[in-house]
Amino acid sequence: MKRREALKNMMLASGGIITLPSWAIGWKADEMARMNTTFTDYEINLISSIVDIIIPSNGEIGALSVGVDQYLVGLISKCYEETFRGNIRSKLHQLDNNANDKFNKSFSGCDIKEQTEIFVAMKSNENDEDFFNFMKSQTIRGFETSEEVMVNYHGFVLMPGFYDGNVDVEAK
Amino acid sequence: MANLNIDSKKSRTYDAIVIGSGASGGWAAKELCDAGLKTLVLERGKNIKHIEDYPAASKAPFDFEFRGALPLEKKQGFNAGNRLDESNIQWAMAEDEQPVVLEKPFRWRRGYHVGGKSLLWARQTQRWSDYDFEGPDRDSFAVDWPIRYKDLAPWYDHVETFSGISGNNDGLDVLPDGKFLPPIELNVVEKHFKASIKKNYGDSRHLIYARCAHLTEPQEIHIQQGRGKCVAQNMCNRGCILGGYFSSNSSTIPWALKTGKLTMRPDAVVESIMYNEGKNKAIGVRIIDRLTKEPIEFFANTIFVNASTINSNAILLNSKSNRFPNGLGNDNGLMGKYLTWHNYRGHAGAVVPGFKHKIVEGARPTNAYIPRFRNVKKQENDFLRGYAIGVSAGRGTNSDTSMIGNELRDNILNPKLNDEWYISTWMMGECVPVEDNHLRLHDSLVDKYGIPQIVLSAEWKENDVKQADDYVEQCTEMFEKAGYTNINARNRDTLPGSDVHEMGGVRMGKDPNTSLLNGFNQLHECKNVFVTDGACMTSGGTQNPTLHFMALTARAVNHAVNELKKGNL
Repeated sequence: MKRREALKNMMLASGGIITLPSWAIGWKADEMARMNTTFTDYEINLISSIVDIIIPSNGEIGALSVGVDQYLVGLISKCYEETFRGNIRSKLHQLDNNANDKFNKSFSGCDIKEQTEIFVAMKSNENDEDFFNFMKSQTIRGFETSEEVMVNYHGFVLMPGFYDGNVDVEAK
Repeated sequence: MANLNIDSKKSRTYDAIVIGSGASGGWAAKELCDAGLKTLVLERGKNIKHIEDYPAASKAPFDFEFRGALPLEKKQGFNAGNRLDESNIQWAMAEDEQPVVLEKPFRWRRGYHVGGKSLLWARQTQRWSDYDFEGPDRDSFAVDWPIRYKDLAPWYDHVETFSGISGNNDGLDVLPDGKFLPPIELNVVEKHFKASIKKNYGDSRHLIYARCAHLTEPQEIHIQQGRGKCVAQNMCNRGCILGGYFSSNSSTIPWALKTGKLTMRPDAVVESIMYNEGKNKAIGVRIIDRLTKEPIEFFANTIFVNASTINSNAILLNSKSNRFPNGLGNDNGLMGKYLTWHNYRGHAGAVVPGFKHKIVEGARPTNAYIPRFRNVKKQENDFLRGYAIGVSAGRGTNSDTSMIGNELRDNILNPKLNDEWYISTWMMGECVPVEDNHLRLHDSLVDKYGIPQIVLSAEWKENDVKQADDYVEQCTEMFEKAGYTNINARNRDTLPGSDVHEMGGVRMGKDPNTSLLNGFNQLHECKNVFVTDGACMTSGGTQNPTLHFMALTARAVNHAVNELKKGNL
């Protein structure tokens, strides 16, 4: 499969891990490469895990299936200053520290329940709550503004072309 | 070589020069070109071609790389405090473009690109009535306008027809009807509020459809302009690929270009108007090229100043000569004084019980409107003049996003309809122009073009505060009588100028001792210079002023052309 090969080659070239994480399936290699100038593949994996915790899939749709992790990686890499980016990276590694302290495992070694517990705990820690709030609000934003959610769930129409100010709710 | 100089000057000579390409400048260009005059439009900002240069138009959030957030490199050179995103970066003004000295807090929003603020405006349009023109004379402030509604009525007809204005003929003397395209029906709650106002206030105040510059039903003249029906994308300030609302870019400038008489010259920062003492007239305009900083002179017999209120004042003030040491036409020293704007201090809202079974579908680019109802026929309150009110009712949705996980996802995917509708109103009041609200040129500080910096010195006066207090009282009362709840009405000390309707400084009047412009917008003391943007306003009215500027412009060009034919200019 050409795309998997391209992804593999890209990650080899960047010196990252060789095995393809599941979140990379379906991504376009050039998009990923273009978006990311800040994060290692390991850190991207952590971001994806967080995003998946915040808005998991119900089998049909979730934050990962609409590319919210891709959005976050690109957003932080390209739209935020260096100090902010550095802070995000250090908080991501803190997830591992906290996981080691609590469960004697790396963050990715934990199951979903354990990962959730570690992430949610950050909300009550005054050093980490900004990170928690940022990841949560941007995950929500990335999800809410995705094409699938806007068009299929929120009825978004670019050019409505009409206005009816007297519609019965029951009729819908 | 002499020939080169003559050829060069000839290539820089026109019949008419228009300074500024916004709503009024674009209209000056169109009317001058339609009359056959070879016209140069000088625009200080970059070129913006209709459709081609609207990078954010018709884009959903998911069509942007970062859903609308800007990459760092695009933010370089702009004030970090501005809320910049993909939808407005195209027209953002660079931080070092035009430093201003604010003696008192003032918000001055500028549109420095071809089309100016006609790309960014709220597209709300209302005509003046004689209650507005007669204001200064009746209430003894400013000076009497040298014109009345009957002078401007045919020109309102003219600009409305071409621009395309959607409205309802309401038959109100306080807000004259116009040449309208079909209105959009108000929603069920706005109709309820309208009925309540009628029941409780009779004929003394009215809620109507808010007239706006949108093509609800394009006519032949609009199709000829290459414009199409507005489809309510509600992204107007990104530029519209359909030309669904009026802008210079979609309407007057392409029209004028088609006559073959128009030359557009963007990146031309006007420094001054050149006056020839021997000929007793202005002979041209001196610019500084925005990119090269090179000074260049252009020549014309007729000059229209449409640089937007504060800049038009500044250009004239900076146009000094032996004859006019204080600025072109400024014998009486009033230029720059009596700066005014609109009173936007008031906001109010309330919850509307009932209507649980009603919602809105689709979208519209406008709202509802209550024309001024205070002190209309006579002065009867403890404040002068009055205010119009913008009104909009809606019913939103909500999602509880306090948690994370499956519940968060499900709440986002299935937003709940709000239990109740909400109604919002905002105030647009007439400020009384006073002499000490003014602008002037700094005597030493210059900008990067070597042009003197502008000093703005303007503040709210007691009348504005009292007027806004009355708005708060009246909205509260109107909401209560309608049975609305959770009423929240505020008189806030917002920044003057937040309305983006600054006006005055080069006011029209009958007497050259107390005004700068005559009844046809000509400088009393230099009749081949016309000022038809907001600078000409003797008083501010309550109406969104752009339509008024466009009508004054068309009328003034018509006068200029007639005067030229008679050999008077």
